[in-house]
Amino acid sequence: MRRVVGLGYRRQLGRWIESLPAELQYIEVTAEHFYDNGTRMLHWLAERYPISVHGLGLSLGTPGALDSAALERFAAVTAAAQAEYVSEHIAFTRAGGVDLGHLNPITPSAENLQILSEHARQVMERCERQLLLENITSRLQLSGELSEPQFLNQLCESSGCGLLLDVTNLWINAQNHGFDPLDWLAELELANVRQLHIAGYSRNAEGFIDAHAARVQPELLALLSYVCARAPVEAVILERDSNFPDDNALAEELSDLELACLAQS
Amino acid sequence: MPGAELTLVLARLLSDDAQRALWLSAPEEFCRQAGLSTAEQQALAGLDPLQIEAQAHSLLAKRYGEVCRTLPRSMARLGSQARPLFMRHARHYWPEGHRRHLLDALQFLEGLSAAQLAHCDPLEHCRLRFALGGRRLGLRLLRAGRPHSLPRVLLLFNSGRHRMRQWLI
Repeated sequence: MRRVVGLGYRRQLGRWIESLPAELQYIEVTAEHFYDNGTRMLHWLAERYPISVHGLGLSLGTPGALDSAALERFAAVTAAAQAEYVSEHIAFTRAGGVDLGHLNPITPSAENLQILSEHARQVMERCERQLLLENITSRLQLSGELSEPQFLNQLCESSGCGLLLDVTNLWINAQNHGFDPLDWLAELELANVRQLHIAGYSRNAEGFIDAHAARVQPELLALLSYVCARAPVEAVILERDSNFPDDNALAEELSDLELACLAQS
Repeated sequence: MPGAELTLVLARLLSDDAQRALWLSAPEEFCRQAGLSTAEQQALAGLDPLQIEAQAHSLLAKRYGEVCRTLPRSMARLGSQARPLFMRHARHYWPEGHRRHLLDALQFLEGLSAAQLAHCDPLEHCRLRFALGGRRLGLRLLRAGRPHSLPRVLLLFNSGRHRMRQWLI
C-alpha cells in the first residue's frame, strides 16, 4: 500500500508548498480557510497534490440538525479541491446558542453515538466522500457507557466513516489523564484508521498542549511508527500553526515522518 | 446515560463563569435552573470541576492565541495589559461563524478605550477591517503619528489566491 506524507496547508507555508518540494506528497486544507475566497488556490493545489478537506466547525457532536449553511460551504470546498477524503472532529464547538470556537469533548454514550453517526452520514452523503473522524485532545475527560476506543469502533461501524487518528492528541491525553496510549490503541479497531495527524507538543503550567508550534518529538515518532506498523494508514499529515520553520527544517521534518512510517515498531 | 443534554449544559458551563460559579456553590439550584433530569444531574455530578475550569480557560487561551496571531504588533504594544484586557473582553463576547477569530480581534480592538487603542497598530486595524469587508481592493488613509508629518495611504489587495497584499505610500 502506498503511504504518503503531507502537510496542513497554511498561508504562511504557501510559497514553499507552491515550489512543489519532493518531500511533500499530500495536502490537507482546512475548509473554513477557503469559505470566503481561495478557490483558484484550491484548483491549483488539486492539479498538483492529492488533497483532503478538514473541517473545524461542523460541530458534529451538537445535538439537533447540522448547520446546513456550513455544510454547503464545506461541500463546495470539497468539490473545488477534488478531495480524496473529508475529515472532522469527534467534538462539539457550538451548543445551546453559544459558539465556543474550539473543540470540546462529548460523552461516549449511546445517545451521542447516534447523534454523531447521523451527522457523519449526512456529511458523507452531501460531500459524496468517506468522512474520517478525528480524536481530539481536551483538558476535560468525560466518561460514558463506552470507552473512547469502543465509541470510535462503534461509530465507524454504524456510520461507515473511517478514522483520522491524531497521534499527538492521543499522546497528550495519555500524559495529561494518566493512561497508556498503547492500551488505548489495543482497544481500537485499527483497520478503520486511514490517515494520521501529527504535530510537536508544547507544555504549559497545566500540562501538555497541542499548540502545533513545535517540531515533532522522538516519542511521537515512536508512536507514529507503532501505528503505521499496524494500521492501513494512507497519509500522515504534519500540522503546524505557528513558529513556522524554515524550508529546510520543514523538509527534514517531513523526511523524519516518512522514515518513522517505514520503521518497524 | 445522557449525552445530548449534557453537551448543552457543558456549553453553558464552559462559556459562562457565573454559571460555573453557581454550579460549584449551589449545584442543586444550577440543575433546577437548567431543568436537568435526575440522570443528567448524576452525570453532571460526575464531572471534575477542576477539569471544567481548565477546559474553560483553555478555550479562552486559544482565542487569545488566535488574536495574538491576528494582531501581533498591537498585542505586543499593549504588553502586560494585553492578556487581562483580552480576557475581560472574551468573557462577555463569543464570536460566531468561520470568521470568528477575525471578529474576535476586531471586537477586542474596538472595545478598547481611545488611549489603549492609540497603543495599537493602525495598519493591523485597517487590514482586519478590510479582511472582514470581503472586498478585493481597499484604500485607507492613515493619520500621521507625528506632528507635521503627512498622512499615509494604505492600498490593500486580496489576490483571491488566499493572500492579501498591501502597499503603504
